[in-house]
Amino acid sequence: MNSHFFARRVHSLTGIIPVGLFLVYHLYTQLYLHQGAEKYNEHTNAFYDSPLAIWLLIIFVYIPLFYHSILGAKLSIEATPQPSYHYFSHLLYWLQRISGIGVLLFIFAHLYNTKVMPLMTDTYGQHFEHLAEGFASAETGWLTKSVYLLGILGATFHFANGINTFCMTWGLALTPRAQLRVRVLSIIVFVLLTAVALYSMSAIW
Amino acid sequence: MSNKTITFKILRQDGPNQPSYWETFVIPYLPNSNVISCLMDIQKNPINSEGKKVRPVVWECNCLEEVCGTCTMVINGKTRQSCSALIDKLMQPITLQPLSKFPVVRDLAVDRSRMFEALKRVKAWVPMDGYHDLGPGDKILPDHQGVAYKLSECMTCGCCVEACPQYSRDNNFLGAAAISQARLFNMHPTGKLIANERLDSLMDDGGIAACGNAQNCVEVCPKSIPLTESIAEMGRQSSKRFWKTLFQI
Amino acid sequence: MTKQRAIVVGGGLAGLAATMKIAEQGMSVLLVSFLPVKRSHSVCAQGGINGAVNIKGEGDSPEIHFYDTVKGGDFLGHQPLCKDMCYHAPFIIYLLDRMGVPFNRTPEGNLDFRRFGGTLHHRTAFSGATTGQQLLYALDEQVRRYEVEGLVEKIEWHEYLGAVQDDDGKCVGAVIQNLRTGDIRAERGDAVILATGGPGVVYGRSTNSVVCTGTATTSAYLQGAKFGNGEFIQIHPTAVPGRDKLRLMSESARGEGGRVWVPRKANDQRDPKEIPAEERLYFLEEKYPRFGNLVPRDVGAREIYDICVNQGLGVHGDMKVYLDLTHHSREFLDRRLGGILEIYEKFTGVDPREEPMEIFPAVHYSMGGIWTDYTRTADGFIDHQSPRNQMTSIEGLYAAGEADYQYHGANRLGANSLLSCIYTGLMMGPGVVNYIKNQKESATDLPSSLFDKAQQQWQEKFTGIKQMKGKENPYKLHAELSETMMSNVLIVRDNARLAATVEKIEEYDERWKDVECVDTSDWTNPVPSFVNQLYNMIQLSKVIAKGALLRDEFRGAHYKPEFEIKQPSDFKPESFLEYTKLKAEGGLKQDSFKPDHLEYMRLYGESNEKWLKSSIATFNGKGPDISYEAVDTSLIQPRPRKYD
Repeated sequence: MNSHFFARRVHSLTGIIPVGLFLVYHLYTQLYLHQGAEKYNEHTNAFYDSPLAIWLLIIFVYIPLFYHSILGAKLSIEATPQPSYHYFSHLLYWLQRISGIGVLLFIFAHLYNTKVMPLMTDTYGQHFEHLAEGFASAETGWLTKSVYLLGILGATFHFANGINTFCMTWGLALTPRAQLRVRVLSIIVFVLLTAVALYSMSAIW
Repeated sequence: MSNKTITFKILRQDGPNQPSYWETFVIPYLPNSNVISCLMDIQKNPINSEGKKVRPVVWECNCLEEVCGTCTMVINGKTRQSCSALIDKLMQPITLQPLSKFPVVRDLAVDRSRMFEALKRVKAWVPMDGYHDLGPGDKILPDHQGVAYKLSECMTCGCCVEACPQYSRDNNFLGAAAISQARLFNMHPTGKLIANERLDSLMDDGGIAACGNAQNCVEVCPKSIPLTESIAEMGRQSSKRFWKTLFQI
Repeated sequence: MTKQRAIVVGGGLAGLAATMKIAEQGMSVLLVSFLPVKRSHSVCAQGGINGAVNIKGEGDSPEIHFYDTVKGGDFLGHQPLCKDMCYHAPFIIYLLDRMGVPFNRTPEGNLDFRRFGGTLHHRTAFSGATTGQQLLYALDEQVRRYEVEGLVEKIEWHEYLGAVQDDDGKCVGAVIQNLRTGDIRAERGDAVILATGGPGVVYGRSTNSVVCTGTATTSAYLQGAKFGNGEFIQIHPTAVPGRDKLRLMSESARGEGGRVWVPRKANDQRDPKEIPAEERLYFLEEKYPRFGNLVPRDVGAREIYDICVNQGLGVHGDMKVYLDLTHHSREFLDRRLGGILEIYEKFTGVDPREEPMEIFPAVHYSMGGIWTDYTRTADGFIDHQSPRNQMTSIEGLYAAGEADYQYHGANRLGANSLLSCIYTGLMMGPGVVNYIKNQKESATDLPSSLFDKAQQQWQEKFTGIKQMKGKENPYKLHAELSETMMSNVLIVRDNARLAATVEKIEEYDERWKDVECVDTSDWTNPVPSFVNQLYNMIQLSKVIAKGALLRDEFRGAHYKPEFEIKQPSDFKPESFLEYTKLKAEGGLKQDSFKPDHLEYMRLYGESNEKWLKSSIATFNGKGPDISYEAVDTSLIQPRPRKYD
């Protein structure tokens, strides 16, 4: 085994555990949007403000996410386009790479919107208000909404399809039948997560 | 005699470091033609569409029945064997290009040595004590044979790696064919004696980890070899070895 | 002494088998191949490899295999070689099995065997319907192992041009041409093995691959090596007609129960599936109740030719008959014949699992080849240590596989070719190594002038070829040559037409001088190489046509109706043994046999007396001189063949 193999396996693993799991939890917590500003802020602050959570986030989310993104972006750039082969899996291959880079950009925007800007304006903690205002803004609301919509779709797709490739990479799904089952599973995950996310968003749309 | 014709657009190149150029040939239509029989016609009368006498097109072929793998080229944008590319089933003009993942030797002929080197890297053979009489081999059940036979049909034609977005001229990826051969020999009763050596090659630079799961390989394989299954199987074997090595250090 | 090595030319089964056997003994090998060895013509062999393992409990034995082989070859095979080969066949199959060839299996996990032509036993081990491919890959893998170990150096995209001979005529190396750069160079080798396959391309469209031009063997003949039995060209009964090639439809299709038939009514335009059984003529089954569709290939090809040409019963009035597998289930067919059925479907667009295939005979194999020697033991086997084994009449130059001539007589049995290729390669290995070790001087130590001279000769020849600016397109000239051979030296042969053909070929020889080298560039230019190949093909055609013209008999694949001795239908081949015994003892009386039998045996005996000999062609500077050599028939007494 050499470093390249190790790096790729860690890349594959980090995509599911912990980054993928964090995504699931993160989308789940957004359901609090429907319970109003107070509940949402209370819940979100409780999670992000505990000193332990910060360290946990750094170790289990930010660092793996950083690693996953950097290596992923590098691999995406190295791929050779094969435009004349129109197969579904091949389409997914490119969507995985495009969504990966898209989500990375979205994460920066999202962090700016929910962390950096509030800290700068000293309004950190009022998560609900920031989101809702951003969405409601007469001038830039449409842009914020579109960015969030694309970002969420990209993330759920990237994660769901990642389950699929994870099972191939690690040899969990061997036969074409097993691979088909995994693909069905990944579609279910995609639809479910996207539905949850869209429902949450509808509270402040 | 009908006046039907066949038009070919061929990407030609006089040598390895020469510029490539397109040349068009229009030849009379004959029934039951395939790309090779048309290239043979051009050879007998090497005149391009401008009426200029040119050097006959260089290409490689041998068996003409899709079992030697020699005549692989990119036909109308897709990689395949030119012997089994029947004219009646192709859109015209028919474009012929050399495989893009290998150095062009001349015109449509490319150098696929890298694929054979990959077979060396994965030690695609059964280790043997000698070629004298050592009696029969192991008993093997028909189902096992069925799987091995399918994998063993690989003719190293290069379609899988040509269509692969992860395989490029400037990386050292083994490609689906070699990974699948590693699987074949890892499932043979004596071949598996050096299974770990093969896995070590697969877990080395440009090994199985370079697969990006585009799965074009399995779609374009002319012998319908279950290449993604092979990759997943070797993924599983290398995963086992991964965890084992990880906890032995 | 400096390091010695063997040069093996050709990366098919015979070449690879010889390479790995020689390397196994620690001797270095330089393996020269036209193409990457994995793409050699051996991949086209489909049906299987014979070996009397008797897995089905039919009482099969190597001795019966030996008998079938010799009888199938109409007794022209060299019996000690045939015997040794057949007795080694089971071991070879086991060896291949150990090497990882995915042979089909019985439910218990044993090797499975199927039936093939010319025998009544299940004797053919097979790997789906691409057995040749599977065997080639297994040998290729072993050679690759030695390559990694450094014992074998493999150079591909190189063509053998000729042998380097020392002042005594001994072969001490080979002149080869790099097909990429066009460079010609002489390689030193203490022994050179030509395992370069057959010459099917002489006939243009055949079941052979594009590289099967017979150039290397012809080159040996032009350098003085004797060429044996050139006129014996096997026509395979079942091939799929195509514009660029006649694709083989394996005998295994019949081995697995495929039935050959035509509509009884000439030019019947109905869909074959709508023709009821009683309106179908299963002509092979009817005429040969014992062997049925599995008669030897010469017999099968003649019958199909007869049905189409003489009786005019070809499908839709064309030169085609049906080969029908539709009575089998799809699963059965896919498991046992998948590869060839896929090929048929890909190239014709018709699914042979649903529709009968349309097939016709095609040039397939050359029983003849370079003359080679052997050393027999007292009990009729071969002394494997002898350096004489497989050596041509040029010392130090060897031949193996389809390139040699002794194993298949006048007609090869299906699935014996893979066997003879691997057998010769393995068998000759120890002898070649002994030969090399017995040399007083290594080829490496010989003066370089020898090699420079040979190299220069060939360089000049190719410079000459490149300067050819005549009127003939070489590819067109080849098409004409092959058309002539195809029309006149095929299944049915006739002296008047053969004589005209011999003259015609002389004409091609003249016209060759007026060829235009249509591409004179230096880099990867196949044209000069082809012009040279064409010259050799013309020379080889002369050997084939002249041999056929001079051999006034009917033997195996060489059928001259004029000289056919009609066998009485109630004749038993064993009577001939009795007849010869009585004749030798002087006890033969007029009433010992039925009068027509007696007359038949008298004629048969006389004909054998005259013609049961190998024809040997030697190059006289212009064309072949043909002489005849005795065949060792001491182990099985020749007798008339009978398959019905």
